[in-house]
Amino acid sequence: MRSFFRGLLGLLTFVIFFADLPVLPGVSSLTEGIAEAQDPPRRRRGRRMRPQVPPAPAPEPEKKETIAADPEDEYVVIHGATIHTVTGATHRNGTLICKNGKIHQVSAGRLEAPEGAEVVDAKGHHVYPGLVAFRSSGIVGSGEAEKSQDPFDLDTTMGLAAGITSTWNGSRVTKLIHGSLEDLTIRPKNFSSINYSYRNPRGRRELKDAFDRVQEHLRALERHAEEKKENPEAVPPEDKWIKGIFAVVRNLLTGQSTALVRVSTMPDIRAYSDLARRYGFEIVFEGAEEGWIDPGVLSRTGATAIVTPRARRDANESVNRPTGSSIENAKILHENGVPLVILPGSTQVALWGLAGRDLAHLSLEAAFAVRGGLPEKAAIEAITIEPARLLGVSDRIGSIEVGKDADFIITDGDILNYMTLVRWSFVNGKLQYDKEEEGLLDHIRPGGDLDAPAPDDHWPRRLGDPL
Amino acid sequence: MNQKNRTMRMSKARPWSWGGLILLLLITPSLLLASDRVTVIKGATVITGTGEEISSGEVVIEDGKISLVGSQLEIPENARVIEANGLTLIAGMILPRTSQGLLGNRVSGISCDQTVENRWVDEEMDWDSFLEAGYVAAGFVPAGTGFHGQAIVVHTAPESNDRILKKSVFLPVNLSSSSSLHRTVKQAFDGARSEIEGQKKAREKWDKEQEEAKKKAEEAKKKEAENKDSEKGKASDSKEKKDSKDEKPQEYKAPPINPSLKPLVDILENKDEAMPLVFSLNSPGLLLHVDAAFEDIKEMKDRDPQNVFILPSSRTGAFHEVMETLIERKSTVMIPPGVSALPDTYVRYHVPAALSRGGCEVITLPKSDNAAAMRAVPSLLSEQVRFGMSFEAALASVTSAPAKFLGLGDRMGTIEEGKDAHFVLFEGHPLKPGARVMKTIIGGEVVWDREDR
Repeated sequence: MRSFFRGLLGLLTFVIFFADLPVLPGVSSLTEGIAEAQDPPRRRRGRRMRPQVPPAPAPEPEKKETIAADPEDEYVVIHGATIHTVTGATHRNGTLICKNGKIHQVSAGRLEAPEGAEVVDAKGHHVYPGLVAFRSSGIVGSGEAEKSQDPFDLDTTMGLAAGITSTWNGSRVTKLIHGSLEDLTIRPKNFSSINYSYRNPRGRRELKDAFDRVQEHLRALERHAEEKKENPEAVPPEDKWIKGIFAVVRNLLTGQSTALVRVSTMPDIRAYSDLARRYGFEIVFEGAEEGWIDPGVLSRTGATAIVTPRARRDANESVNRPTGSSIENAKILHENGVPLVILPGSTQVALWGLAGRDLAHLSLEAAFAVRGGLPEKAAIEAITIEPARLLGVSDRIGSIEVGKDADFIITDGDILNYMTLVRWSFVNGKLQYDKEEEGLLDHIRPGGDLDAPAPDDHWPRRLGDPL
Repeated sequence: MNQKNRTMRMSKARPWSWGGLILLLLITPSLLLASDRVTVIKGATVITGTGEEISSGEVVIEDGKISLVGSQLEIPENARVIEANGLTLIAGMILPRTSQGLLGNRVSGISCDQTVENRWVDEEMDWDSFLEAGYVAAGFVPAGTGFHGQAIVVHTAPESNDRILKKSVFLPVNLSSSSSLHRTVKQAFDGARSEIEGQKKAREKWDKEQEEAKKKAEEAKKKEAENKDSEKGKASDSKEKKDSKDEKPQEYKAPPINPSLKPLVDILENKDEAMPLVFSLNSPGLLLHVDAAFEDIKEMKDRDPQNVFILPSSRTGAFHEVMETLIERKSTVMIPPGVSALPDTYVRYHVPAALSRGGCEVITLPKSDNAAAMRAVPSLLSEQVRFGMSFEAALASVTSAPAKFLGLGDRMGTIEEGKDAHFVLFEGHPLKPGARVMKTIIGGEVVWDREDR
């Protein structure tokens, strides 16, 4: 009899646990707690110290205080969404208040909206900082975007629909803004490109010579500075020869710029890393498909890796060592403390060919890294704050923090879920993309409802009756 | 008092009035001769362009001007009559911008002084193709890019003694990419600014010189006065000297302004004779770039935004996005007719109709700059009407709107008394499909007639 009861109890426990039934009405299921407990611990940082961003202000729950609003100020208030600040806590059912294009307040719980504010009820939605595409072509103007952007380009809207609010166009970090030419450029940014490839031994030797020569010159400069204290008439070392590659090397050695190189194979990564460690300059590896083979090399160098999780590289069967790409590349590099930036295979918004592996699917590329074992938090960082840091604009964009630019997106689900679509994109506190209005994707789950039919006139794009 | 005055004048006038009557009798034959110059267009449906439509009306032309418009007018027996039964008369059409038949290279860069005057051989121009399409006047600009010259308006009559109607009418600006627009506009107005500064400096320098000369003269005078005290005998002599000095005051001669920048200098200085700039908007975003480029010119910052634009004939871009801005400014828009689709949709959108309904001044251009496209304009106008433009606006877009824009509104564009006698006679209604120009009349003379073909 006892064994029968024991068996019954066991069966009951089994049923409750595996069928995920709530034990008491109103209490969440057991596995939900387990899922939360499995949240990965914060990863170790790289060898190099990065500026530590102050954590978001502690949430003040149930703060029932109306802000005395100046009628001049423009407020945007997002209610009810799950706010992923990325660098700080995640607030469920939180409130985000923006003032004049900057983030004014982030809080768990509900805050009263100031008078005259634009209020968005985003219940059930998620708020993320606007995604940052490290590199792009065609979605913003080249060079100084204020003078070259087509403000009505469809690609800009497509980028916003993908959740991207900022990108690097090769010379400047630029925001995606539709229909206006103001406040586009955040800051200029340039990387130095060097060639130290195995395939070019002469170029290698010349580059190394250049490093030696410029290093010697910098030491001579230091000596000169010392000498000048005693002898004010000391002659500084000649520097007229510092042109071309020498100027590039000087910028690297003095820390004025970072090297950006495209590498795939481990031997190349090793070669560049040795050079960077030997002369002490910062380096960024784009590609790094074989980085997983010896991730310690990257972490010791303090290098950042820009990876494409879906990139494939066949193993070289003729060598007796690991080669080729790995689905776990991003995970392994992350575990070794290498800062990660994720970028899709094509840096355009593609409507053919590479569709699905283009900038319109930046968050999906990050999801593929998660498929390979990268923690979700790191994957989101790799498309928001990490590229912002790499581009030197993490004080303005990349996370939801008080004082940063009000560039954020509101999605109808977890950003890493393949079903999730961006519902609204805000740039500088202004609504730049509204899925229901724009007519690009409005026929897909209108209003977030899986069963709702598409609007009758949606194909291929709905813009209403213009006349 | 008044009464008396009047009677006095009457009595005085009486002998004159008799004389006048005699004079009139004497002159009558010569008056009849003079009425040779009276031309009457008879029997046509007259669409005046001011909202009136006179069926079977008459237009009386004297000295190349319209002297009377009406119906059942009394016509002198020996007046020259143009029978136009069953035809429709509208004011002569005006083409505000064309480069047809021009010789020479395309103009590029900042060349505001370029005109077409040395770019055509009058006898070799194909004026007939203009007349066949109903155009009685055309604004010619040199083809090219950048600030590619200035427009002149001419008559299209094959033989004309006063071909040029107006010079220096507008400055076309044609820049297809936004970065070249920013660069060229900045370069152009920086050049104009340095010209102004050069003028200022030259003036200051001259003023300084004058002052110094004055000082010298005064010193010399003082010395002379001292001399005078010593030698009183030569007083008259010195006076003469002084007079001769006053007689030849040096006149200030401004250094020459670079002619290719002169129109831009006028714009910067906001002079009355400053020509309007006309921008070709090959893509809708260029409108924002034009505004941004002029925001950067400090002299222009507080002025009204640029207001005259040429839209391309193939409007594949998102032109619907800038409609609101153009309508808000009540811009003048030169635009070839035609319906387009909203980008990546099948939604039809008619830019000219939308602009016209919004209150912009719409001027219709041919779809391309050639004879066949010009001939097609009337039938395309009927399409504009079908897509929602009012009939009046469609007609005005080829007559009174271009006349007004070119500054010829008081001479052309409508059929009103006192205006120049330029007309087009259409077979049937001008906006019927297949409408044909039957006669084109410039200054009361039939310069093109389909029956002669």
